[in-house]
Order: sequence, then structure tokens, then C-alpha cells
Amino acid sequence: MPLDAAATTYLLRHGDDNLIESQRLCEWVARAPRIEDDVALLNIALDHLGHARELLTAAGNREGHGRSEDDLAYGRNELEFSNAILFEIPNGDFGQTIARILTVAAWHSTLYRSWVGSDFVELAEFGPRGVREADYHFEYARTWAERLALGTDESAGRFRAGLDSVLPHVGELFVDDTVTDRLGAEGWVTSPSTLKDECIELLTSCLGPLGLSVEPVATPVQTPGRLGHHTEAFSPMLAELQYVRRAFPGGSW
Amino acid sequence: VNAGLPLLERARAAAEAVEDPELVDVTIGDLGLVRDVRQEGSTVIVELTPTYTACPAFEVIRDDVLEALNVAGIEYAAVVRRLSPPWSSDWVTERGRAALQASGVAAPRERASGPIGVQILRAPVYARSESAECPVCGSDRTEVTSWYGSSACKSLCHCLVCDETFESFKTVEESRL
Repeated sequence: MPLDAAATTYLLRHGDDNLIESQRLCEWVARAPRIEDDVALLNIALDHLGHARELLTAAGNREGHGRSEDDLAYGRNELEFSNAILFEIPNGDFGQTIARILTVAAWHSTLYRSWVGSDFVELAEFGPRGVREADYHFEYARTWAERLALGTDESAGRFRAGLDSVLPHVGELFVDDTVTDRLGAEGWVTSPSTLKDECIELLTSCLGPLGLSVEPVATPVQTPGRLGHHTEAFSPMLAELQYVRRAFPGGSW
Repeated sequence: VNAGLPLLERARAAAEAVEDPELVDVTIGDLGLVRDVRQEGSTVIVELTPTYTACPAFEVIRDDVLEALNVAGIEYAAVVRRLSPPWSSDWVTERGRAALQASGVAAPRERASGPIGVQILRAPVYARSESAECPVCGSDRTEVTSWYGSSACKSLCHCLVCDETFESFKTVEESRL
């Protein structure tokens, strides 16, 4: 696989992860338990959108066919999206959403840290700022994880059920494939499989003291999301995300 | 404007005087967003670093800088967005801190003692007090009521003395990565 093709695919994956996470969190607008958390969830969504813009723009530049961030976000179909399944699973209740934010933030904090100083210049540029923003999401989710897990039987049960829905999808993030192998051989990225322990350790630093376990996280043999094979819940979400651009092609205001 | 100054000084002065679109009387120079002004051929390049990657005001700021450079008589100019090294609230100037405080937004803490994501955010958030100075009464007895405010760079605080609610510019220490 040519290096530029691998680099483009890698940027697209992580751009898509952020775009889809942002869209899911946006579904919380005006629905969160309190206005402070409404604002928080949407701020986190905005961070993810900013990260998606950065990474999709970089992917378009690497690809070299003149595709903009908007072309990539609004112009592709389901099969062309390479986000991991973790990011597209429905929000569930607030407990499940907090479980996902916590998990996603632990992953991003670990991933972006590995980008710092990389010879893959787009990643090196993004890394330090990305780590900081992911850490802030993690700490926000942690405070809610504590309150839910140590709160009432109802809140603890819901948070635990949320984790049970989220954690089975984490394994996909740690799978090495031809793309990461190619970039890894060049010394540009760390293999996802070697980021697993650090990510799980970070998650455990929050969940362990609450009596909740992360292990075992199985590394699956397949990466459906990365290959464009999405869940049934994905299409309606993508339709909503892309509606305006498809209804008014080329429209501007 | 400043016609007697050399080109790059004139360009820097024009760029730094652009007001942040989401704040009152606070310039992007005050916030430390202008990282470099240089010349490449006949083009003046201004490097800007956003406070947060997703800052939605960035495009407006970029356009305002280009406009300001144009008004300053600089014919060819470009703005380059730079994320690394990441912006730090340590880059906010003294004038900027005073301007924030005067506009009702608490200035970030000076020279934070640790990375914000690691040190100050460990305690349960709503019980935690932070040393933001109330922009209304000047008291240090304040607490964070919400980590997130009306923009990515601000959180929401409450003054325990005068009971006022106010926004606080988040403290972001310089990256050690």
C-alpha cells in the first residue's frame, strides 16, 4: 500500500470517528438532565467537530483530489465511512452516554499522546492540543461516573448497563491492519494493539475505584466499522447529518 | 495607520489590534493568538493559534485580520492556522487579563501549577472551588458551577461573596508534551 494512501485512510478513520461522535452527542441538545450538562455535552460535541474538521481537511489534502472537509463529511455514503462502531452506537440513556464519553476520551487521550512528535506531520501538529481536550472530556465524564456509580441503585445500575453496552465495541480500536502496519513500518504511528494497555489502564483509573471492571477487552478479528460495514442505527443518523447538503446541493447562505 | 513603521511591525500591530468577536474590548493580541508575522516574497504571513481546536470564531478572526491588514495598506497577506504548540492561557497579556476582568469575564489563573486536565479537575466538580477572581466584587471565594460555558474557552463560576454568576476564561497551562 502506498504511504500516502495509508496516511489518507488513517486520517479519514479518525476524522470519521470524531464526526460521528459529535453527531451522536448533538442528539442530546435540549435533552440533558440539567442545562449545565446540556451545555457540556454540546461543548464536547463541538470539540469533536473541530477535531473532525482538522483531520478530514488533512485527509483531503493528503488524498490530493481536491475534496474538502465538507465534501468528505456530507458527500460520502455509509459504506465509505470508516468510523469504528463504538462511535455510532445509539446514545441510550444519560448513563450510557457518560460511559461512552469516558471510553472515547480514554482512547483519544492515549491515541493523541502517541501522535506527539510523529514524523506524520499532521498528527504531530494535532497531538498536544488533542490530548488536552480529550483529558478535559475524561475528567468531566469521570465526575459523572463517580456520581452515578456511587449514587442510588438506579443510577449505579444504569451506568453499569451503559458500560456493558459500550465496552464490547472498544476492541475494534486496538486492531492492527494493513493501514496501521504500513504507517507503523515507517515509524509514523504506534500500532493500535500496543495502545491497548495504556487506554485500559486510564479507563481503569476511573472505574476501578468505583468497583467496576473493564477487563477483559477482547481484540476482535474483524473491524467492521473501519471497513464501512456499519450497524442499522448508522444510516438514519447519517441521513440527518447530511440532509441539508443533499436537499440543497451547492447551497450557500 | 502607523504608516511610518516598517512593514512587519505595521502588520503585527494591525493583526494584534483585531478584537475577539466573542469578547468585549479584548483583542487577539491580548489573548496571545498571534504567533508569528513574517514575509514570504511579497506576501505577509500571519500565524494564528486558536484557543481551542474547534473555536467557531476562528474563521471570523481570520477574515478580520485580513481586513485589518488590508486597511493597514498591506496588499498581499495570508493567515496560517497553527495548532502546535497549543495555545496556553499563559500567553494572555497583562492588558488582556485586565480587559477580560473589566468585561466581566474572570481572567485565567496566572502560571498554573499543573496541567488543568490532571491536577485541578480531580475533585468532584460541583464541590470544587477555583481561584477565579470574581469580576464583580473582586473576591477569590468563588466556585466552578459548570466546566463548560458559552464557549469552549470559558467555564461558569459562582461568587460565594456577592452571589454573582460569571464566566471564567479557562486556565490552560503550556503544553509539556
